[in-house]
Amino acid sequence: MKRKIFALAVAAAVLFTLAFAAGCDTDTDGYTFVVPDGAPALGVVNILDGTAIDGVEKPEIVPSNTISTRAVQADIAVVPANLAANLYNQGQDVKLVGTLTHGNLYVLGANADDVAQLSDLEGKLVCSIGQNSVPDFVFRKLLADAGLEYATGDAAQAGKVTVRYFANGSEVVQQLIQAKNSGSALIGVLAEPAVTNAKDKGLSELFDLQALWQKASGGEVKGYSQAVLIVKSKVAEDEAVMSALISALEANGDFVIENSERVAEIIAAAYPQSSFAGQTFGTATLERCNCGFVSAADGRQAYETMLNAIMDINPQAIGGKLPDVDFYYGG
Amino acid sequence: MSGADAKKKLAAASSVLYPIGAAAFIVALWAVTAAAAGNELLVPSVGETFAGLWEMLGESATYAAIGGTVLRSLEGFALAFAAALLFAAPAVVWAPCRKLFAPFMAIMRSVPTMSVIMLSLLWATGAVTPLIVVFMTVFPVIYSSFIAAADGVDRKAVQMAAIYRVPLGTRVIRLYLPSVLPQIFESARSTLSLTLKITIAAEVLAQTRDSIGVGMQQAQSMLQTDRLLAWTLIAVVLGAIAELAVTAVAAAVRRLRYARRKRA
Amino acid sequence: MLVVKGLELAYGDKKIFDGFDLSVSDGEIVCVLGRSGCGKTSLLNCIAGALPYGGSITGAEDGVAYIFQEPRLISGLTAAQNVKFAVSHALKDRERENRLIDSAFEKLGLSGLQNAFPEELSGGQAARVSLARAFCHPSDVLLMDEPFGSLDIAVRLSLTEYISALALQRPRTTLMVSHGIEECLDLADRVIVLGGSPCRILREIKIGERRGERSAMPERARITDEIRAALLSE
Repeated sequence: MKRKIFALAVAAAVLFTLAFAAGCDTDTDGYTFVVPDGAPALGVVNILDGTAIDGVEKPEIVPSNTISTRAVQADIAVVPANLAANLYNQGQDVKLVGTLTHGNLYVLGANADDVAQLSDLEGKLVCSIGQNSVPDFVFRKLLADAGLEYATGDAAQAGKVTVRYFANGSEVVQQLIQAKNSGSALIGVLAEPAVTNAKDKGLSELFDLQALWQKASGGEVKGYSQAVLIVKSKVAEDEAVMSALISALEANGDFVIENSERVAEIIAAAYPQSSFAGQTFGTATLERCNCGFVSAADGRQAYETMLNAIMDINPQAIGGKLPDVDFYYGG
Repeated sequence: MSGADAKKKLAAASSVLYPIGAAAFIVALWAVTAAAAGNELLVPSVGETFAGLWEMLGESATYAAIGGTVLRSLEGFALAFAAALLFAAPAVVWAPCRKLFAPFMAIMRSVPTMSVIMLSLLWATGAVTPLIVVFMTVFPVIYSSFIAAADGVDRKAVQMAAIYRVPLGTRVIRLYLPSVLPQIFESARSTLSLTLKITIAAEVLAQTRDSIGVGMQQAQSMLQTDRLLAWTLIAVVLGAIAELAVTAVAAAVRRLRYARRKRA
Repeated sequence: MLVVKGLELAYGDKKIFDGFDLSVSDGEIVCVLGRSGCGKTSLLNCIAGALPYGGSITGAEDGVAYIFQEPRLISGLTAAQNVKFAVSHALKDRERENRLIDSAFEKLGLSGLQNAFPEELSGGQAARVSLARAFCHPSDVLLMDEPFGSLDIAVRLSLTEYISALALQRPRTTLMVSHGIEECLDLADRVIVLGGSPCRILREIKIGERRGERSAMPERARITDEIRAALLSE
């Protein structure tokens, strides 16, 4: 009896493995397209709303913490800027098509009227999200440029800017509101559209990180490469699909502004558990999200500036080096 | 060698060979899966993972994380254990006490882990939150096992001790403790592994510094799947060590008791 | 002197004892017979202080020595440790304790088993350890609840002898619940037959103070009949 059970278990394990292998290699009709929930999804709202692209399946929104695995398997994906380079450097088959969003980060404060410039953050505690993600790297780069020393911790330390990380933006908002009510000072880094909500609750905006970045890097366009679109080479070689795709992406920027009241609805319809579900955004809020397509060729310099900044802080986040020219579609 | 000796050697050998055999099977399965998936980022090969592990073991941050997580797990467990003992003792002796505690234990068991984490983050730091989560999960479990163990004590022997008016101290040390100890060790063994798992999960959500949880999350976000698996291996080994430690202590205690034979 | 006066005991709605009286003189051995469930064990437990009761029981306030139906040994302790568990606190004298234990074990045929664990003892040996425990206890009151219950005849006979001898050496106020008329005749000064609901004394038979030559006692057959009649009369 025991032997039979053992044999069955081995057979089951083998079958499972084969099924897994088989599942990794399916060819469906259209190219698969994944998008992480949150601000990056704002880059493809018109496509979600119904602008169809022949040969491409409707985008699937996935939880943001699963995007790295989903992006590896999908044909087309929206990913954080550093993830794109990282995938390429790790030998994955990806090509950068362009940047979809250019930053939506703002620094807010509770009882922090004494903070007028970045250097005033010294000796204070800042609540932030996503350690070693693009928002984090941008903030840390700006701190470094201002000559401030970065440290992690749960309480403010003298002589440094102490960052305390949380799992998502709503927790940061909670901390800020608590601080506001108790009269203590606290700083937080947040992304739109959460920023507008937070300001409605009485928190004040201290810095626009996109503007600060532009000043520090001397770029022509406000902001930095935040969410980008990547495709597998087989998609990149499909000219018909690529031109349809790029046209749709270029049209998205205006679409978002013109249909701002419906944006949250569109995203929630595609992904009911979205963090945007049940909200309505104003035009001003969405403008501050900086949506707008910049092709890989046009935006290469800005993109590499971002990658270099990340390299100074944590090279492993981009895969250790700048990607070579084959990474950039059309450039 | 004699028959008894041969049997002993066979038993000792099989207690080592069976785990090794199981581990070998898992590694073989892993290698097959990795080869079949064909993508290092989805399923890293065994070699890559161990290479990543080797790299990690050369970084001080790895040890800080392991130390942090282990310390937090042990702290949480110790707190839960001590508290369970504190509450179980009166509950065993006085029935009204037990009835009073029952609803609180039930509530603690049903509160979703997520709520505990989110609520505790409002008031506590990221380092303390995993402790709270571990406590809320493990405390009711150990408490129940204490109660069950105490209930399992031979009723007739208890009555005998009462009729002979044996002092409470002697009763606890000679009757209750030896009776409940095996069950307590067993409960501790299974709860320790659970504690480690919960600590790591809570660390991810609480973004606790110097933790295996955040280490795993960072590895995942930077596409270092080999490191993610390496962290997992580390966690599994830690759990195994914990279980072995408890088993060893239990065996030592058993031997100690039977050694009393020499005295008297 | 053990005096039970106006004992009242109820189990739910059922009244087990409703004004029950019994006296046992110092050093007297009283055997209690009666059908199962009539309250014999409950009587012993009330005297031992294990059950709450109404009425008064005097003479056993300082604790009793009790021999249960089963050996009731603690499995993690050796035979000697089991005896010490119950007896140490009452004796308070280590040396005397060890002497008593050695002597009891020897007389009960348990020498060499002091360090054995209950799992290693036969049924008869375990029962004898339980006896040793009771006999090493300094109390002047001894309660026995069918102590020979599951033992084979040979063991039963030798234990009866032992108790008999011990009673002569160190008389104790003894109340013994028994299932066997033979043991009663061999050991008792007085036999009480209990029955009815609520429980009361159906018959009280004085056996006499002689011990030792009971088997040759001429009245044995007559007393046996008397007891039988009382038991069946219910």
